[in-house]
Amino acid sequence: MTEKRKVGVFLCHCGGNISDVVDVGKVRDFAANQEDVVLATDFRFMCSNEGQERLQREIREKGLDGVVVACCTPKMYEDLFRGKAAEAGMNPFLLEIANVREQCSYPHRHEPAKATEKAKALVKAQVEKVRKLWSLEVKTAKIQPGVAVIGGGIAGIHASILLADLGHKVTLVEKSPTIGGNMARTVKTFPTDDCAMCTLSPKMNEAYNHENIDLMTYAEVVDAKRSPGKFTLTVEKKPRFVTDACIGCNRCTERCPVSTAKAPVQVESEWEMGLSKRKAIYLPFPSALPQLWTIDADHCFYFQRNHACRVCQMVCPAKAIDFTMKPERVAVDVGAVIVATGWKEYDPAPLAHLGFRRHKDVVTQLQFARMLDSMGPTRGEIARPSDGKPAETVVMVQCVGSRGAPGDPDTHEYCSRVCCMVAVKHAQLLKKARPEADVYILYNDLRAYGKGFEEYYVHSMELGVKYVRGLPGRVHPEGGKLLVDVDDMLTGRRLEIPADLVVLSAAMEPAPIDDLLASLHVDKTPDGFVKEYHAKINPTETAVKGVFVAGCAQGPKDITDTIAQAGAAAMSAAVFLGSGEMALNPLVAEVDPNLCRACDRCTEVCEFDAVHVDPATLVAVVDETACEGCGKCAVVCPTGAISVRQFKKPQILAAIDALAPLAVVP
Amino acid sequence: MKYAYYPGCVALDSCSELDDATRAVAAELGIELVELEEASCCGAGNLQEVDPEGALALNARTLSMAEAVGADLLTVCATCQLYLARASEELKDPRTRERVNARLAKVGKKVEGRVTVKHLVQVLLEDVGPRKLAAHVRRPLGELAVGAFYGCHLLRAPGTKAFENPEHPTSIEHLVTLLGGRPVDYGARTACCGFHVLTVREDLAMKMSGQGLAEAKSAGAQAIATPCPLCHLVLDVYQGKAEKAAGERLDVPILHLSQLVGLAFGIEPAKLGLKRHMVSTKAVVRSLHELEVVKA
Amino acid sequence: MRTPVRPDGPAFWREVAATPRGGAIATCIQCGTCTSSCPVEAYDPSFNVRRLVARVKLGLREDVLSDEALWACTRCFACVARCPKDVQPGEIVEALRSIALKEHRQGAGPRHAVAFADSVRDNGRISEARVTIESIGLSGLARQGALPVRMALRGKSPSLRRHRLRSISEIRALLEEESP
Repeated sequence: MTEKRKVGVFLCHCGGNISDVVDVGKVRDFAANQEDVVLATDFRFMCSNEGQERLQREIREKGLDGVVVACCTPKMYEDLFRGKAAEAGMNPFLLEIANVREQCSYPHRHEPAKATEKAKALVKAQVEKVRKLWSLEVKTAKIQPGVAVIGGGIAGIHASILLADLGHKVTLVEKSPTIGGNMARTVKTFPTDDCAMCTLSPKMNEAYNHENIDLMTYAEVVDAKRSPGKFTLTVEKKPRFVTDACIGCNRCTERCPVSTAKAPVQVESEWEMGLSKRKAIYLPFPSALPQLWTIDADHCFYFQRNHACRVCQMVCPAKAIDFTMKPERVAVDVGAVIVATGWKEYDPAPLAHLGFRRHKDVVTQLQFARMLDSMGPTRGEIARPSDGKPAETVVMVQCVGSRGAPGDPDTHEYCSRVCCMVAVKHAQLLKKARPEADVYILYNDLRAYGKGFEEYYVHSMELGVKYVRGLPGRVHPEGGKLLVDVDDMLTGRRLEIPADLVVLSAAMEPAPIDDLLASLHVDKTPDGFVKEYHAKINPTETAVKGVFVAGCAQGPKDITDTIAQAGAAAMSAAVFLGSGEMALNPLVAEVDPNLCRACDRCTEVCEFDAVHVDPATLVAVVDETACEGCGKCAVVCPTGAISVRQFKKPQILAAIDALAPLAVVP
Repeated sequence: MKYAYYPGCVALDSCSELDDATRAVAAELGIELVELEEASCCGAGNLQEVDPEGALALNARTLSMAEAVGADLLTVCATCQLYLARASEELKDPRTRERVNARLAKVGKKVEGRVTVKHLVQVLLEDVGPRKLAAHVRRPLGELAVGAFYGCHLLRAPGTKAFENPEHPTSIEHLVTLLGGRPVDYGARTACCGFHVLTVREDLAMKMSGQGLAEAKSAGAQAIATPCPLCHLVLDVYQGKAEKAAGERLDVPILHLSQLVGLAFGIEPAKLGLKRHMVSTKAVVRSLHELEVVKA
Repeated sequence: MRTPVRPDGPAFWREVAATPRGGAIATCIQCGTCTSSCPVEAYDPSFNVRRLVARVKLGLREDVLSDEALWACTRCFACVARCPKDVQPGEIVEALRSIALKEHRQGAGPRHAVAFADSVRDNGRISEARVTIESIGLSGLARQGALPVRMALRGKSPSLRRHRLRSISEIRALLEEESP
């Protein structure tokens, strides 16, 4: 590229974040002397209104055909500046960002002189690259109408209703036989002690009955394919073996032999967190929606023992049992996907000193919630699982599985956010039900941050809940009790509390959706939750355009925050769908057909399934919506036929040549 | 102006100079003091611990005696002020009053809640008022550097209405200025002297008061003024021991508020009991004598 | 060796909350502002009012009522003035001492309180001299060294004579039958 260019360099002070370290004036003067640079200027805040107006004015007045903005990370404002440049009449892809903040003034803040030299090099590298850039066309694709919401808990339900109310067609896919998720298990919600089902049921009903919501329960998304403006999801509907004719009489469940006292097959109820058994044919909980019984083929004698048992079919008055039902796969085309797959409770067994699974009287908070439920496995009695006697002394332990060491495979580093309030809730519900019970909460920090939470916590103390600051050393059985050893920092005493029941506030973990995320090409943050686009300013989008996230799938949170986020995700999805059209990122791979010899090396390395050799033309073809522009193909291509736009060899080399004198230490 | 005067126990015993000075100042201001001669000890917190209901009844009896006199109750001790005012607040609740009056009936008394309990500081600054006070200052204190030692119960009296901001009080400094003195600021002016554990943990009281006195002294105080005879006892009588705890000589004379007022009013030092101190007040009195009497 | 303790009085906090001065104990969040304001703790960390409240709430009844440090509080009420939750820790100390006295706990603190109350019952006002001697005993008096003599020389000594109020029968009628 030897034609003369007119490049403008704009240096941002970032209000001191850059200019306190980097001598912006020196960098500007240096930039002004570079080849093809016709303007070098600096300003306090390039991202501000005034900054952008300056950018546009200079583009227009000087007819710039290349711009370098030296500022913060491109992740912040590259799209913004490119958009403004486009408005001013310059192709947006002739604008590059030199990151002189996160990659210069921040890390080198104690070495301003060196930072200034580095900033000069970074700017020069981008100037050299820009001199070799050419305009790129932005193609658009029509966005497929329709949304798929994956996960039928409160987040998925709320987002679905909002979108459906707006007129969008929503496909709500839920893996378990019923919608409702974990909220249905919680019995009461803090800090108002509302009955959980009372607040959840109306929403469940609305989602179930909404004309714009196609509800698929006992169904799972097994694959996802992207094409321009569209996601094609493959949903596998598992067979219930029970038809719509079911009238809900429960006779089948009563007669099912599985899990009866002498049965060779015993199934723990997932719904009741293992505190009781369920039959092979079952309704998960009384207000399950849809109100359809389900046969669990993995434990049913008909399926497992060669059709040995048909008793449910025999007693069913509605002839609703159909053992011939088959799994069904359907393809669902949508423009947007909301991941709302929720959470599961951490299993504390690895923390051997706490005795979970070793001692029957050690349970988790979700199990305790099931005990509190008057329709639950213990009919609302808080009793010792070991012998059924009432639990007089209950000790709750916080932070089980949370706030662990970095790199520890058995625990999580993060705080699960809700367990402090869950413990306060459960403790004060117990005190209200049985004032004579002696209830302790052993904590590290008590996080009662939300609206009404502090008052709720103080009220729990007025009811007599006791707080011990210290986590236990050991829980060990003695004399029919479980002794909890704990150093209490508040009283300065080492305590030995003889507990009837120990309740562990176990961490919140994301539901296991690795395969789903892989198929959607959505990343996870190191803690295992779905990676949001930006933790502060954009927690509901993901890096994949059209895929959104809501609720605990993104991170631990309570119902209030889940609903808020689900609403935000629904709104983001609606805005996305509403535009009708999406711009396709042109910074993806392209193939020079003259150089391609169909060797297949690129197709072998591509993780995104984005390039294929066309058998007719024997030239590799890139699917521009699937391509992420990672450049792996360009690395392995022996001829240089495939390369990523704006990251072509001459462009990258130009930047490297500019950086090399500083970067290569003699 | 008339007050039902409640000197308490110590002002009539080891700190009787406080009673002398208070009467002299009251006479000068034309205030009639009707002493409640048959009033019991206020309890000082100790009786309240041993016999809470009995202590409340005794203080209710004292209040009923003030009601009989038909005047507000004047205290000169911060602890008496605390426990009497606290009782007065508690008796505002009709159920408490009924319960206590049932006991008082045994001795033919009844409390109605008609009087307010006030400390001398309050009476001087609010009821008498700065203008009248200033008018009686015949011998301004000549910029005598006075550090206030408020003590605890005047500032922090739980169960009563606060007279001033406990973290940043100004009443005594205001009084000192009105009297022509120069108030000295120092951190320990709102600190505790430890009187209430004097017999149980003398070591603590000596450390606490030693620290306070040392601070006042290094801030330049020539004398300390205190509104409580209990603080006075510790700071004056035990100053020698406090010196040992502080590790330095102190020699700071401790004056009761009424003594300070009396001096500024030009009342004879003998009438103010200024000889009845363990730490001599001679230097203070001499420095004032050397000043001219300003007003007749 | 710190032997682990088991809470022996699970309802102890309620006992304190039921007293006239201990009512607000439930709302203590253990922030520590009280102890941070305490002049006693600065010199003697064995008196820690925050910890005292925690021990009451946790039900360590004997631990609290037998603690000598309970009597080190000087009633300065700095804790009460600054407590953000209005727990009034200094008042809780008064409530605890009341309970301790009802149970005839022994020590210098109870001795002083009882001596004081006896003096009121006897005379109506306290006799400073009597209360002091009964509180510190003759050995305590001996440890005062020359101070009593120097006080006598200045006329500062409290009176050794009995000054009983004329209406003492009224006063006795209003007090509880017997002192601990």
